[in-house]
Formats: sequence, structure tokens, C-alpha cells
Amino acid sequence: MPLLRIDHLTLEIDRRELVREVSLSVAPGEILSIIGPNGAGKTTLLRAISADLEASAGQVRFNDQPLSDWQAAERALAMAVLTQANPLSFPFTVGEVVALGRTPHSTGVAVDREVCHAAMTALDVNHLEGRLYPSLSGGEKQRVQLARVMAQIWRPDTGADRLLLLDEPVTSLDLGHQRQLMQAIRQFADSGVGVVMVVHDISLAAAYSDHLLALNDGRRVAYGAPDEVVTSALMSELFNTEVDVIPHPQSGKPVVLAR
Amino acid sequence: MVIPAQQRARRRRQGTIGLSVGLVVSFILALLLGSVSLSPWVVVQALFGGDTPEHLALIVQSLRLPRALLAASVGAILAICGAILQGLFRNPLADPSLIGVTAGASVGASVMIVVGASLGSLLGGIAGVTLVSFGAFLGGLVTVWLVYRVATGINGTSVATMLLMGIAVSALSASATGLLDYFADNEMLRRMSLWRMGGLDGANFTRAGLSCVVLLLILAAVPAFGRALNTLLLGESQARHLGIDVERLKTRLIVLVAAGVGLAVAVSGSIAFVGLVVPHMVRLWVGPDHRVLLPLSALGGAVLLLLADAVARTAMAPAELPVGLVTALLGAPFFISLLRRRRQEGF
Repeated sequence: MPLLRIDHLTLEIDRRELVREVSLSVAPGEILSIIGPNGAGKTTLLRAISADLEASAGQVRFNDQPLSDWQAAERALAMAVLTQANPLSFPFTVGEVVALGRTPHSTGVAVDREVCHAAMTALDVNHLEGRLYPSLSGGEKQRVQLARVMAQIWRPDTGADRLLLLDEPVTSLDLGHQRQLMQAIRQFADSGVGVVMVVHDISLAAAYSDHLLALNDGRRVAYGAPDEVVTSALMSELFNTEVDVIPHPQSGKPVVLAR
Repeated sequence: MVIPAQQRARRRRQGTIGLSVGLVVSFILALLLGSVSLSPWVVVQALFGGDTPEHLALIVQSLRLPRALLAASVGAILAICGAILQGLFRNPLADPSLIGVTAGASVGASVMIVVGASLGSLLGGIAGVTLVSFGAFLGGLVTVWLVYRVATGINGTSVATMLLMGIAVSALSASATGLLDYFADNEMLRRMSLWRMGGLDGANFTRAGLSCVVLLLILAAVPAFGRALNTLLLGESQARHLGIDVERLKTRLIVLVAAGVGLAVAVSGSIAFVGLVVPHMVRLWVGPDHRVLLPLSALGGAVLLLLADAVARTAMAPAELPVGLVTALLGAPFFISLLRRRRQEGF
């Protein structure tokens, strides 16, 4: 039984079709990355999965129930979302921000503290716990926000399988932290959580994802394992520029090089 | 370097104890001070039915006690409403008077005074206060809703739009009250202008009781809203993803603020500055967690207005200063020094 199943989903904003007839499915423990040029509808698709946007046609099923049947409070126990912009200008400490992720739960202070601690360790922000959030650098803020959404669904507290949605989680990070963060996401997925994320760096997406979904102008142009999707012909067409795809010397995963 | 998290836990305890003691002390001061200075013994006897000269007992029982109760409850209401608005707008610059809610409430109250007078003048009694409060509540409700709708888009609240809406609403309110003046007769005019001057000198047990009841209602709602308001600071869609019913939360908060500010305006006119400065100061001290911020703001607001009113009554006795003038004189320098310190500490 797939954790997330989308059938012929069409999305409109102000009567403009931004996503057309897209289908996909995600199993527990799987990472699906959505790739494509700017304005392809990646974020729009993610917003529909996170119930911020209603489908104008087609269906989204989460844990084998239509997404619209889920109560917001119930859904928050099994689905966590990291949006692109996270404007927080109030001086919460890092520990307090991560603890906000436990809001939907009533598991008690001891469990909450343990979970927050584990999430902060996974993202290497433990040493920042007492610092004030607005005083952090962009990359640190991003890791703290990711720790918050991971803390939200860290343990399987209900019978439902868990899903993590991430919109460009690594865009503002340096090379070392990009890798560290992707590894943390991979480990989190391996504990049985489904992950859907929008990623701009194709090589990074190919290295860590089980499946890739390529969107162009709202349509699904490719969907499958990384080495099926990341080919020089498809990538050149998708991004409208000449690229080469070579296998990574160590891992063998496809790497995209601009010509 | 002191870690903010530990410092905050300590400051929370200090703040709670300090402000509670401050409330008791300032309440006692409010009973003792005035154009006639009373000894503590006289006040105690007057309150608990001892043997005191009748005119002194009267001063304590029917002038100073209701006035102190009114000052404390209105101060607490204004501060807590300011804190809620700042959380709702995700902006520490939101304040009932800056964004026009006070002005809107004033229009509602003025309309009710005119309508109420022509209905046969029930003003003065509990019906009058309730009617004016209701008008102010409606005026406040429409204003918060309007400002919120215009200023808040998908990317959060625009400060510029919010403050400009405040100017627009205030201008509209000024012309509306001007229009009401034009149509009002002498008696109504006198009543409206007296009311508009505001202040706490109209205190009686009806007003004090009404504002204490509203304060208790707002305080009772705090535990339910504290956590939700915290998630709202992350952003609206972030709060939604944490399972909060954001639309319902916003509606309830707006109604709560309108009720609070409406009542405060109806019983004491417009007292600016309390709703901006008190939550700000409390936040700088204990951090933005609303579960702590809201109750401590209530305490701080009560203390500030009690002290301000005591100063207003004694500084130029037997004449009285408007209390709003004193709150600004007391609060502004403190506020500026806190802002300076915040810049130096770099957060």
C-alpha cells in the first residue's frame, strides 16, 4: 500500500493550469525528488500534497484516504512540511523553535525533549540550542527549521505512515552541509518515512533519491529511478541548455555537467 | 557568554515574582496617593469597615478603590491585546492605537452615545456603559478585520500597509466623529467631548466591574491560545502544517482583541502606548513564548497604568493630568533604552 498516491492531478491558481495530469506514488522509506526548471510547477505540486491547495481535478490519497478527508490536527501527526520561505523574526531560541514541531503531539515534556534532542543531533545543531534564532546564519536557520519538521514526525505516534515534504531544503547551504543534510534526510527516510522534496541540484537529487520526477510546464516528462531519468538528452531538453551526464567515479550515480 | 535559554528561564521566574509584587505595591500606592494623602491605617480601616471619618472612608471606597481596579484591569487588557495583535500580525510594531483599532472603537462608541441619547438617555447606568462598550466593540471588530484583510497577504503582513491602514482608518474615524459632532445637539456634544478626553476619572464600580469581567474572559482564553500563537509566529502555512486551524484561530483572536480594546476605549477613552510598550518590554526580558508573554504582559500593563494614574493624580494636585500623557512620559524613555540595548546586544 503506497503512503502517498496521486492520480491525474491537475492544479489551477487563478484559472491558470500550473500542474496537469500528474500521477505518482511514494512508499514508506522512499525518497522522491521533484526536478525541473523554474516555474515548472514543482512547488505548486508540493503545496497540493501538503493540503495548502485543492485539486481542480484528480486525487491525492494519503495513507489510503483522500487527503481532503484528513483533519488538520490528525494530518499534522503524520505529515510534516518545510516550506521555502520561513520568516521568523521573533527572538525564539533554537531549542524553542525545534520544540514548536512537537505542537500537534501530547506526548509529554520528557518525550518531547528527547525527540527534539535527537532531531537536533541528526542535523548538527545541538551546539546552537541556546542561541537566538534571528542571530543565526542562513544555513543554520535552514538546518534548525529542518530539525523542527523532523521532530514533528520523529516517532510513529499514530498508526499512519509518515511523510516529510521539503521545498528546496539545501539551496542556501554550503557543500559540506548540503551533503550532511541529505544524509540526515536519507537516514530519516530509512527509518520508514516517505520523503518528497523539490531539489534544484540534479546531481545531488540523483545521489540520494530512489525516484525522480521531472516536471516541465506542469507536465510530467519523466518519472523513475535516477539513472533512467537523468540522461543528457532529457536534461538538455528540460533545462534548454546543453549538458553532459557522466557516472560518478565512486558511486556510479549520474552527475550533470554544464557544457 | 550567558546562554539566552538559561538566562530566560531565570528571568521568567524573576519577572513573575517581580511583577506580582509590583502589582500589589502599585495597587496599595494607588489607594494611598492622591490629592489627599491618606495613611495606610486609614485605608485599611476604610476598606474593612473600621472607625474612620466619613469623608475619608468615602474617598477610599467610592473614588480610589474603583479607580484602582479600573486602572489595573484596563492596563492589563490593553497590554494583553497589544501582545495578541503583535502575534497575529507577526509584527512587534502592531499596536491597537497605531493600526487604528482604537480610532475605530471610538467611532463605534460615539455613534452609540448619539443613538443612545436619542433613545432616551440611559447613559451612566450599566445599560449606558454596556451600550457604549458594545458600539466600541463593533467599531474595533470592523477595524481589526479590515486592517488584517488589507495588510496581510500570502507572504505575511506588510508593515507599511498595516501602518498606512492605521492612518487611513484614523482619518476616516476623525471625519466620522466630526460628522457626528455636526449633527449632535449641545447635550450630546458635551457628553461626547467629555468622553473623548477619556482618562480614568469617570471610574465607578460599574465600569471597574465590567472591565474586570472582560479581563477575566481574556485571561481564561490565554491557555488555549498561547501555544497556537507561538506556531503562528512561524508563518500561517507553517502553523497550518502543525495542525492549527488558522482561520478559526484568527477569527477568535480578532474578536477577543476587539472586545478588549472596545471595552477599554468605552470605559477610559484612548490610552495609547501601553499595548505597544508593555509586551515589547516583557518580550525583551523573557522571550516571545506567548504562554509566558501574555500573563506577564497583563501584570505589566496593570502595574504601568496604576503607577501612571497615581502620578497623574498627584503630580499637579488638585488638578489631574491625562493618564495617556503620563504613560507616554513613563514608558517612552524606558522603551528607547531597551531598544538601544537590544541593538548593542545584537539581536
